[in-house]
Amino acid sequence: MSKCEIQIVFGRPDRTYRGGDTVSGEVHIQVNQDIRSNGIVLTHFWRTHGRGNRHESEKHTIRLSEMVPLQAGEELVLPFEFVAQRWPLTYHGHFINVDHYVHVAVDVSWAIDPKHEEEYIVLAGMRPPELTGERGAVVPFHGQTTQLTGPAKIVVFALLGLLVLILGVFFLFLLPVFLFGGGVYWFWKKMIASRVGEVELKIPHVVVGPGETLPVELSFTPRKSFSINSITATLTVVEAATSGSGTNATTHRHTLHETKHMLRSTELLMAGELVHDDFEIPIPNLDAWSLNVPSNKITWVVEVRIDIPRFPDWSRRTDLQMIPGEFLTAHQHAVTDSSALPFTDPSTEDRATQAGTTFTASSNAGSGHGEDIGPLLALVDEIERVGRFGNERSEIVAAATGHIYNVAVTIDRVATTYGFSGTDHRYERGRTVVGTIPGTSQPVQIYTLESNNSVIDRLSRGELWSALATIETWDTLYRRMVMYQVTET
Amino acid sequence: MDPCQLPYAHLNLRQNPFGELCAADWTALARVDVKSITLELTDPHIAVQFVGEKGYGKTTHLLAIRAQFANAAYVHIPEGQRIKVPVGNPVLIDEAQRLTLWQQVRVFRQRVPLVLGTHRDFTKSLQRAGRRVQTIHVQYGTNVQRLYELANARIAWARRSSGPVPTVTQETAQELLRKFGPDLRSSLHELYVRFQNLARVCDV
Repeated sequence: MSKCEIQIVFGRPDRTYRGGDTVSGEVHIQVNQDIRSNGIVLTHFWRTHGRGNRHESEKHTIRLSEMVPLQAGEELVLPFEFVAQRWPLTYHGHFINVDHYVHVAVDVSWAIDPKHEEEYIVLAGMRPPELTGERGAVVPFHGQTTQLTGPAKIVVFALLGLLVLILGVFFLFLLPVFLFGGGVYWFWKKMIASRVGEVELKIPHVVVGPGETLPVELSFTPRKSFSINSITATLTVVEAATSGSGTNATTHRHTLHETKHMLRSTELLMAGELVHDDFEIPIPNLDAWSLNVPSNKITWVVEVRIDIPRFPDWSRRTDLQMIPGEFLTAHQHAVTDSSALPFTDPSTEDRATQAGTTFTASSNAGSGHGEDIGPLLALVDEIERVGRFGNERSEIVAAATGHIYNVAVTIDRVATTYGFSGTDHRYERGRTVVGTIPGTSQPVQIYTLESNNSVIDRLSRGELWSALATIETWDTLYRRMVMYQVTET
Repeated sequence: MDPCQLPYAHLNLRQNPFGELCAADWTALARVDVKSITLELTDPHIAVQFVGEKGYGKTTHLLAIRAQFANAAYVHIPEGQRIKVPVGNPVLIDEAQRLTLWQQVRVFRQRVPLVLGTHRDFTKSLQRAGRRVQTIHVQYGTNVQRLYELANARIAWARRSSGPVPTVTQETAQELLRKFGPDLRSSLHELYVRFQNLARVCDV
């Protein structure tokens, strides 16, 4: 019986490539009997494997050889080369795995074609073209579950509408059931709104990277006074793999991460008084990139819930899209459209080792007396001037580190500090003051000391408050200086 | 698992052997005896029905039979859908309890060998249509030896290179059979989880 041995040898022994890299190597073919091959074809693709039904990408084919005689005892070596896909990246989870493959098949007449495949690893490299800079909405990737857009969406909805109209005549007897269901839903919503009023939940971006913080703003004015058990924000990362179909379908779920942030505990909310919570949810350093292909999904969801005792809860779920930090950074250099939502600049969190040369304010750090506000405003101007790309901003901020400023702030809001990512524990349970520098429209955010909570809690909107503070970073998203209070007021 | 490492390389495997398979691999790895049934399928009046609960191996039997006939036509009827029954010899219908009445009448009266995978026993309808009926209750085909062979065949299929790989022991097969009965799907899921947590090559 003839035997054909195929070996795929990658140029890199660790088979590890970044998206956009050239994957190269050789295919070695050996036979033990002379045969004639009608062609040798290499395909490369990605595929899910694990507990869910397998999903395979479009296959990219390269013809390595046309008709060729394969002789016993001789080894045919065929080089190959192609560009690694940029998305999805290799992922090995609990129920879901994503791997990239090179598959080689030898076409032999009147016999089963010998074939062989090997995996290679794809890490974050070049930014996928689908990531255009928009962070306000989840970005569908080519080859993932398609989402209808534009004219296609209109056509589908028009056809569905037509179908409903035609079939509606025959299903008129179901109308009372639909009306009852709709009525129950409307009543439910009304009941919740009768307590909490109009709830505004702002999440400025839903495309996130590992290690980032997700700013969330929740505000509402209760229509009636009522107690709450809590207000929470829960971040959940879940793998959902579906095996089988129809009644045989089973979905296996595995929670990769779940954190519940308590924004408020048991409390009485007063009618007509604004409830405002401004907080940040830390995004964990997980390489579980969002995935949405048939039968295999990795979802990142934030759920904000107002838990009202003996009453329906108000809740809202927001889907996030997790992408590698490299894509966020790469994007910053590529984007030119200033209308696009900005990415949080991770470089601002890095302390540049070289002091910037553009900041010229004199230093009296450690003197106990803050600098005048002038140099701070000059610093803000300087930051705004250099633009948000590149690392000049972080250099400017680094140069100003250690300077103590006497900052006066017109209070906009005071919130409990959540998800504090710094190393100084004195701020972890403190407050976050957000306001503007009087006489300017320049916003500023100051983390205050826990020991100062009783003073800070007495502050109200519009009040003038001053503190000695140092610069921590520049918040690109809100275009404001983030500072630490250094001594109690 | 580290994404920078080839999947399941620490177990000398390419993937978790107890994950979902494509139809071709499923057929290749089926450990069912369909020899006697395939001999019967030369009679155009025969109808063989595999009856059992989900996860018991109905589809596996049907796919194994399909692999024996070049002209076989196989169809799986998804829930809530009407699917045209293809032409072939034999015709294999998975989830046959979802056939419409009209389809039942038409298909059962065709003069081609018929193989059904079903939750419902169609004996009477098939006999009324003039068929000779053979009913196989799939749960009786599951035993320790079959589960043991099936599990280790899957491991061999997922092998990465020569060298040791984990093995499923007869004792484990027995334990799974005691726990899940003839529900092979649940046994395989249990093995999936155990392999997912394996840190090194060993007996399972």
